[in-house]
Amino acid sequence: MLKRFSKRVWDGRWGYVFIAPAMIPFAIFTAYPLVQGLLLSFYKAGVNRDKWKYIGLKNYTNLLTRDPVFPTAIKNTFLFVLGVVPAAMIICLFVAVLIYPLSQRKQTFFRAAFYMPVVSAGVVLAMVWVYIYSQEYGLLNYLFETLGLLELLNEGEKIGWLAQTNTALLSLAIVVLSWSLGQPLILFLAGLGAIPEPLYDAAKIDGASGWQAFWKITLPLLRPTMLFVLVVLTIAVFQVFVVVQLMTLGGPANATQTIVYRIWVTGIVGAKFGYGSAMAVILLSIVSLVALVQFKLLDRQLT
Amino acid sequence: MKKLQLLLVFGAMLVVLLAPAQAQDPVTITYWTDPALAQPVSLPQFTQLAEFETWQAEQFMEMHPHVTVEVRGLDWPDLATVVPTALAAGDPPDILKDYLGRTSGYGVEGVTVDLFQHLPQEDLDDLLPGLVQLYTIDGALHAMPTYFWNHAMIVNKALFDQAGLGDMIPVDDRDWTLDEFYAAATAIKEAGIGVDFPYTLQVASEQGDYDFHAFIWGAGGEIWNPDCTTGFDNPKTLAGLEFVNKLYQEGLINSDATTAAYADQTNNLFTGKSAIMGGGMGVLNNTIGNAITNGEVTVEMDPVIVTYPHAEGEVSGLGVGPSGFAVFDKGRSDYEMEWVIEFLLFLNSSESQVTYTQNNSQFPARASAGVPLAEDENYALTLSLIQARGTENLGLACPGFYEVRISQPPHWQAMFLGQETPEQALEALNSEAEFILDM
Repeated sequence: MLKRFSKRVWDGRWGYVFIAPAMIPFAIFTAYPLVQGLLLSFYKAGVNRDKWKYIGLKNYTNLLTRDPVFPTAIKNTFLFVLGVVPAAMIICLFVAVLIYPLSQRKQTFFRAAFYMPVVSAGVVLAMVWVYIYSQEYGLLNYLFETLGLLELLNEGEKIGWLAQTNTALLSLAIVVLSWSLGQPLILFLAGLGAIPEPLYDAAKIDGASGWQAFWKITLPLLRPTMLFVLVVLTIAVFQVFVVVQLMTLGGPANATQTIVYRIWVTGIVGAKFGYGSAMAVILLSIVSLVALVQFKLLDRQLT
Repeated sequence: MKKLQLLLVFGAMLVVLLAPAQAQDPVTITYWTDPALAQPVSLPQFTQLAEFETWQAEQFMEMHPHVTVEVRGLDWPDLATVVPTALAAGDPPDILKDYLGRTSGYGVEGVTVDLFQHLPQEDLDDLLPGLVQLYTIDGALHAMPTYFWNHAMIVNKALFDQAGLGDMIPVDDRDWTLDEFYAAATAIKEAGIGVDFPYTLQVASEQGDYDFHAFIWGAGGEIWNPDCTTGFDNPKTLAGLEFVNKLYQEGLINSDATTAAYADQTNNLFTGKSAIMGGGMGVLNNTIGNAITNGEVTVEMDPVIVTYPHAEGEVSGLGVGPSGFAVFDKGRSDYEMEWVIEFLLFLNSSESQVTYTQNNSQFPARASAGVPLAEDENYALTLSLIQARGTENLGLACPGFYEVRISQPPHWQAMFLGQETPEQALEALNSEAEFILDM
């Protein structure tokens, strides 16, 4: 048995050598911390390592039955994902289809414009958005006032976009959405470029309208790209943190608490490393489950 | 025989020669500091975080060339995250300067050195007894206090004078009741001189909590009881909370308090939108002083210190919070620890404390440091108020202090936004605190 295994390893030695540069950092910086995090979630672990104590599932039972904020954080995170991911997919697909027929130079302009937030510093973008949403001096309230919308929506009173529980989450979701468009757009444009042109020519000859070509050719052939974008975007939005940390600190009244922000506040700031790890394991389970469902559903349609 | 004698003499010489070299083995000390002295007022050559502390370390290294001190400055938010992570990773600094609310957590966890075992008795005797008591956790001195800030109320009297309401400010005894405060706040708002929100506050984060808690203390309530249980179920705490809520709902507190940052809070005062805010000597001399120098104050400013208002029959003490130097237990040898303590005593000498307190308008922890800003009438006034009215219990050394602290703002926000009544806010906080302290 061992001999056979050794032989297999020896036969594939060059393969292992070639994947080693990727696998070694992965093992050290991803797999090892992941396993450690899982183990830590069963411990009461603070800043003193000598006092770490195995407590079984207590962190999990506390999280799911006693923690007053974690359920809100889960709910808010799901709202973020349900709001941002479909919106980003639809907007990016729409924009990609719109700009794909343009000249290369114009396409490059739009690619750059949409990709800019991805490569910009989060802090700077957050500051800009805080200014936009500012109740007293904000651009958004100014715009709404000019258009007469404040009168319509709030009896002429300026709206505290980040200060009210019914608008704060939506306001942050818009910021996250604006940061999430760059990469899917690039991928959709690449996906569109891979669709053979003769298919459209044939459809035209058969008398298909543009709308029919979109539904019958573009969308089905973009599915692999859509699956990839959907999974990657979902994972990214589940981990929303920066905007919360920089713009609302989870407030007002916990209205923008998210799972990763709770991990930060409890696990790092509160130095409850075991408890924070349990939150991270729950997040990992949720994300894995959602990604699995997405794969199952879309993969079935692909084959 | 002669050879043996020669060998013995040579051996003895070698021992004598080597002994001092052994005592001077190189030592490396890591020192992490908070940003309290990032821009010392009287030392304008230091403008960056940890620049002043690096200069201090260089002075020490000049005196003791075999010692290398590595200094790292941490901003306030980083202190709450970088230090716990370093501790868990087994790589904390030797010495950390931070405020009691955080170092006490390290003391409770047992990762700090008991300084009773290391500091000379004369230095221990020189520290103010009340501070030594605050810093003693489970019988161990978990850190060495260096100075303490105070928290009272600052009123821009110029605006009240301008509105003809100057006599509503208690400049004689610096003492007023909740009703007198409410009347003054209402009057200045209605005076039509642009004071939209008489009291400026922020509850977006825990950083503004003393400006909030002070009303609760004034009503006779408590956030922390002396036995380190929380006081959220105290009826007087509820009375204080109802008073703050009334101020907010009636527009006497800035409407953006739920999201405002500290800069927004001070900006309200500097631009005359507000006339009152929480603060002590540091705010008076440094925050307001620098703002006046930098031209950020756009209204006439005559800041006076008063105590927070109180209910009839109650006394409003001052909030007092010390900072200190914690030494982490890194398993150092006796020789290395000797130099760590030597550096600690250098950092926290009487002369150093005078320098610190002159530059951040705080109060020294050593009796021998005297009264560094004795010529400043507000400094003397603050000291006399502390002596006369006492101090409030901030609970800084209580287990779970910091977590209970950061659990509060969401409920103050919910109350201001009308989503929780004061009773509901306190009920929720009570059960959250029980959960935190039970974990």
